Amino acid sequence: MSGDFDAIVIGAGHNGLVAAARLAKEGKRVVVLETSPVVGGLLGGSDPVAAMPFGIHPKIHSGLGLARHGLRYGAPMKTLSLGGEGRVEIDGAVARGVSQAMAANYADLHRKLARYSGALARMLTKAPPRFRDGVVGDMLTMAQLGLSIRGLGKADMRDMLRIILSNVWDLCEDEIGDGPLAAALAMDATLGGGIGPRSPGTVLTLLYRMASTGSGGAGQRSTPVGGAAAVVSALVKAAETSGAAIRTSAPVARILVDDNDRAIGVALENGEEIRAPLILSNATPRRTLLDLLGPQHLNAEDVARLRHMATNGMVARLDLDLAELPAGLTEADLAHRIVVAGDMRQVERAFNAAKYGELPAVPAVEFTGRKTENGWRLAALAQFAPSDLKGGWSKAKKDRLAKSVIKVLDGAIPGFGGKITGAEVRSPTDLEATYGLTGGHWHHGELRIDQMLMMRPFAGAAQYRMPVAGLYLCGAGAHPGGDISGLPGWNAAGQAIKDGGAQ
Amino acid sequence: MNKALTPRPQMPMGVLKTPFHERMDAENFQQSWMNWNGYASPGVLDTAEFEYFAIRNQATLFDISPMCKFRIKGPDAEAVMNRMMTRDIRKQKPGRVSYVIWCDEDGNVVDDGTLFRRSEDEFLLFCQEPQLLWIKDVAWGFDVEATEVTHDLAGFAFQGPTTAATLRDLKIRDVEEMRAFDIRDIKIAGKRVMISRTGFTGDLGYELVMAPKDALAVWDAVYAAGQRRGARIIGNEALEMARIEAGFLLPRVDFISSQTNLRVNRARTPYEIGLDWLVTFDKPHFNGKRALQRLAGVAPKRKLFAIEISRDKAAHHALVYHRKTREVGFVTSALWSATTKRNIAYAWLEAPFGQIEKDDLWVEIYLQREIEWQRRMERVQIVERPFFVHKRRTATPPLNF
Amino acid sequence: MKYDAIIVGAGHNGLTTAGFLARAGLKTLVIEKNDYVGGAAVSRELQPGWTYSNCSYVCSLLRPEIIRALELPKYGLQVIPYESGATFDSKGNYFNYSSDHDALRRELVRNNPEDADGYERYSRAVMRQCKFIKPLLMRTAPDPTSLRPRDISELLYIGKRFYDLGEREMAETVRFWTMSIAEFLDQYIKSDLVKVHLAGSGIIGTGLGPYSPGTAYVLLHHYMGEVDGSIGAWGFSRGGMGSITKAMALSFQDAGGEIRTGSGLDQFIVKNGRVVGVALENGDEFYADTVVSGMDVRRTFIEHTEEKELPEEFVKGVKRYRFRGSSGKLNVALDGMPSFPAAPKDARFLKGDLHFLDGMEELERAYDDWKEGRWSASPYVDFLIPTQIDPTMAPPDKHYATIFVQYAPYELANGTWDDANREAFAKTVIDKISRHSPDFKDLIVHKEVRSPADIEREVGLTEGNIFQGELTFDQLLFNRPVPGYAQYRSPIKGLYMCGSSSHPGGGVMGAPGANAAREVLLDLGKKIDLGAAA
Repeated sequence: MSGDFDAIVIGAGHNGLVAAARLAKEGKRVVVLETSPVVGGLLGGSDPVAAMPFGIHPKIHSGLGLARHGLRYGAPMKTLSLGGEGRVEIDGAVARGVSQAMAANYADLHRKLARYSGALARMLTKAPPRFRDGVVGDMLTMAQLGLSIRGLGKADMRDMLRIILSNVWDLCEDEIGDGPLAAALAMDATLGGGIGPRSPGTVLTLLYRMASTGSGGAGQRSTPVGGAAAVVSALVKAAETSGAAIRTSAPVARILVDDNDRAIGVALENGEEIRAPLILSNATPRRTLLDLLGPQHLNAEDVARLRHMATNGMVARLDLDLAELPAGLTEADLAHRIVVAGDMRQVERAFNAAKYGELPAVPAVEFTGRKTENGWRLAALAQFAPSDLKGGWSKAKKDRLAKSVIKVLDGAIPGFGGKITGAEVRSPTDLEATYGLTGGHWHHGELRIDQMLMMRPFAGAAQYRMPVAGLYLCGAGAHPGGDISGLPGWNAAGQAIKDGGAQ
Repeated sequence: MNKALTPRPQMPMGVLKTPFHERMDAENFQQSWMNWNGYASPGVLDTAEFEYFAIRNQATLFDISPMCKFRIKGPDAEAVMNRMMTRDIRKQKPGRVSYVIWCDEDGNVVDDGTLFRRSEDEFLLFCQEPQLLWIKDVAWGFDVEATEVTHDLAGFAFQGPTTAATLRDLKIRDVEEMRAFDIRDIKIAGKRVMISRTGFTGDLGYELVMAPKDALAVWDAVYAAGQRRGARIIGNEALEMARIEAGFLLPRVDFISSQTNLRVNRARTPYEIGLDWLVTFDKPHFNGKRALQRLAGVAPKRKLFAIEISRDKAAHHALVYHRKTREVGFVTSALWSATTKRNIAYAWLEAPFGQIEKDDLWVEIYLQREIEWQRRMERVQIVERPFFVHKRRTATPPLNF
Repeated sequence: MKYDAIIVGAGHNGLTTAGFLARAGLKTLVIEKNDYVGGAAVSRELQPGWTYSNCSYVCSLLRPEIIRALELPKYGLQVIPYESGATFDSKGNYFNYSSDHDALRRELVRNNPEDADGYERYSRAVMRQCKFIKPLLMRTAPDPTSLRPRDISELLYIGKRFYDLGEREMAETVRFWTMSIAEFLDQYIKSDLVKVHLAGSGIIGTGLGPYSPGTAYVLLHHYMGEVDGSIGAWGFSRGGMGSITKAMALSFQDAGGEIRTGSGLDQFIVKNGRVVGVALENGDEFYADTVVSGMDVRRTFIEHTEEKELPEEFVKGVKRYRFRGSSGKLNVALDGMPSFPAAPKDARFLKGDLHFLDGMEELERAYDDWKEGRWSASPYVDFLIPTQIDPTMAPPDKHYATIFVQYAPYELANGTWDDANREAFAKTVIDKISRHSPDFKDLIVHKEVRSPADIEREVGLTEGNIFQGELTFDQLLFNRPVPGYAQYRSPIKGLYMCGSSSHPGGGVMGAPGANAAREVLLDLGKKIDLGAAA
């Protein structure tokens, strides 16, 4: 099929860039179309939403030669968990600031979770299998997963099959007890989702996060030197040196479909049409299929699945400016990811209000910080802040949230409140408006067992191929989902290349 | 708690009465009633055979008020109906009716029905199963309003060779020009009636739809005028005989809707049911299109066949055998056809039987003779549907008899 | 005295196991701590003239295979289905669930025009899952880590059934087993009142809220029963739930079995890693090579077994096993039939299960209270007056109300379950009902109030959990009660488990008891046909 390009990537988020780079590297003529004037999606801009430490998956790192394009990681970032009983430092399997017994239990727990997430990790780097008519490749994928779980040995396998669908609350209660240490794990298990620590399924989200963001080993999240901007820049370079074109301020209005039921290109909002036999969308499943493609190209059942997909974002982003650091917070502390939740109970309580579309009185918070010309700027994430807030989000609601976050931080870090010179809140609805994120959900849709693997984004469309031939989903709404691994983009590009773009 | 609370009555249980109930009740000597979609519908009024012969010889009134009815109205009405149905609805002009089926995402049939195009932007859909949620699902994202009008429209089928003459007696001039599947808005007894030249009998006939408050006046006028030409009220049993002869299928009897099947492998495609003539790919995407395109090229695993059976005993609930030994299918509807003098039935047969392997097929019929059961093997022949359709069904202008 | 087998606990599962063993020719003894048999399936006369179903109160799950094999109807068991129910909201509206299909459709349409169709879809989805799970109830769950031929063949059996569902239905199954009941219902139903009526089955007896993932499965657990082949239907046991265990006891005794009530177990007697008998609290000792415990897993192994007899991992697993009682119960003798002003007089649905809720949020908030160690300020109640159908449980024109209450914590954050708190808890429940039935309060002649702590003390259910342990995935199938010990055998040779702590779990189902009997007999070289229905 002839056209302007071999492939169009809609959206220059990190997954879109990874997909574009992989396609370009394979010799495809690629254009990336980005709505906003800057690239990077949640990683873009001077204070990117995704300010937390993360790692592009090692397979992509080497596959795209990101090191050559300047991407370097610092040491794995440690976590500091404050509030409640005290101050706990977490460095991989090592916990400091807790009793010796608890530290030992935590080390056991961490190693155990690392093993289990390792067994799952194999599933992340390929398209999920389909369950139909015994397709050999798919059976093989399933068999491999079975074998890798079996490979853990009998005791581990039993334990993994027991805890895999249970909740992080029970797990921590059994292994380490509640407190700041458990709170940090609870934050890892729930951040970005509409789930509290007591919700069954949170062990799986924890394992999943460990498996997909393991740039420095399972669960060890490293900060790229230069921050998010460095990741974006490396991905852009990887794409551009292979010949991909990146156009910003080029919002796509719709995906074009021909009479033979094939996606053949896109129309931009300015009316310009660009054609290519492969379209990869980094937009959310709902935006891609219901807005850009349109329900007229979908079966009613798939439309219903998309309508019912859980996409209620629950995290608000706060930028806090401080003239100087308070007494309770040192510059050295700010080299950590700092969790301020106290214990799991607090995280669960913060979730209670959100279930009813209300703001929690005491949110659970984590933050990182950096030095600016005028002092310090903290990038904080507060949960749970539901996008479907009763009465909608307003300036007053944001102020209320900012106040409660500052109060939480002030409670854990003496003198904190007095140092604040400015606060800016980005609610989930702001994220939706700015980035086209359905429901303001980071992961483009809840990461839960019923929206994972062969059910992401929904059963029958989980292999990156969307119902219209030639259209692929390459964002976090596809397997393996959210966080900054780049795997959905990588896998989707692989699938598109495999299909040859001319089925 | 509000002390002045007035209790809300419970929803009525069981069957309700349609607007025609009184009239049917007066003639229902057997007092045989069936539950059709929550309404009392006559099974037999006096004798099924006589009611059946009235369809083929005179004129009959059959209450279709319980049928599920939906109105689809709005700028996108055509687009939504075209997206739902397997036929090309863009070709259906206002004032025309079409027989339609619709499918799920896997190409399995959800239901069949008759689609009335009332205007550019309004359709009425009549069918057997409740479909409001399905229509709303299909219409999601489109500018259209779908409402259930089952209880807001009454109607009866007026079927048989003397129906046109009766309508002429009532001075319905539209009768002369109405072709099969035409709709007209007329007045009978001063009441507004939507009349269509449609039916479930394979014979000359009409369906009349009106507001419930006008229902009795219209019924009475037609019934009275029909008396000169032998009009009578009929029940489900007589209609069932006519519909089998006429080649029509009944959901829940001959196939099961893919929205109600409990066992996943019970849903059926148009290719299996033999309704592939209703599927066209020369139109934009419609529900199930991609699956149907895949299915169109392959031989179905099983198929519904019209069969003819030796001798005269109807093969109700019979199993079908190959070489009298291997079980290869079963009968869904069966009838000794009094008009054609053929022993007819519909049967599901597993491939390749009926498709390639057409010989040496048998049905196993159990006959009760004064308590005792007898088993008979009768020979099966694959034949074409319908078993019977009279030319007068479509002749325009219609003949008087 | 030496027996072939001793069963500890005369609950419905213990008596089921006992019945099968006696019928297989084993000389069998059942011991029971209370003066009466029945466990949590009892009928007791605490107020002269009234019979209460003190704990469990309605019947559906009891497997027909067991009723038939133990000939329970011959010994007095009669289950009568009840036909409908309703949820009242605070504004004078109600949703009437009717077993009459047409009335139900009309009522659903009244609440929302799309809900009649939505309900049909919902009920098909539930039925499909029931069909999938039903054959698994009367089978022993395979150990996925084992390479024994039996485990592998059972795993293949389940795998094939799963695969045969097809890709779409497999996804639906995963969703059903993991989703919250709230989200599951959101897919089908629009009316909040209809949703909350249906959601009750997703939270009864569990320490999860309707928004918690995993509660759709709990709903399924309540739907997989049947009354005479009518799947999901519930009924009353004539004479109260005690009639079930009474019939079981009679059937067992007729088969030559012996029951000793009035003294509980002190300790299992274990020699060289093998059980040899039981020592009772009253000092009696009885001996048998086979001992089966109907008690829950914590009482069996932590309270009545010496820890040194058990592997460390197993003890850890048992200690970790979660009970978390969350239910309370009121049994009330009434001087007459209470009135419900929102309902027409003599409304048929008053004979069924009644609830008083405005919507899902109220139900979830009831759970939030429980998490914080309080009973729900506005609890979910399952309120029935069986005496409208069953003439045997109260004097003529008098009535008995069974009131199941969710949620009530085992441990209160402020205080203990003393008389004052028990009374305050009862007041919360009665006040709530009185808002919908103003004369209810004045009709009360006598009441029995049971907190989770009372249920533990009297019946022996740890922490008052009615299922002998939570029905979450980490405690289902091969994980129930402890991975590696999900086949009714314990680490001690000859000591078996037959209570609801084992697969397939709680409810008056009898399946754990029947399955345990099969395993015991298998080890003794005998095979029994449990009469598993197709």
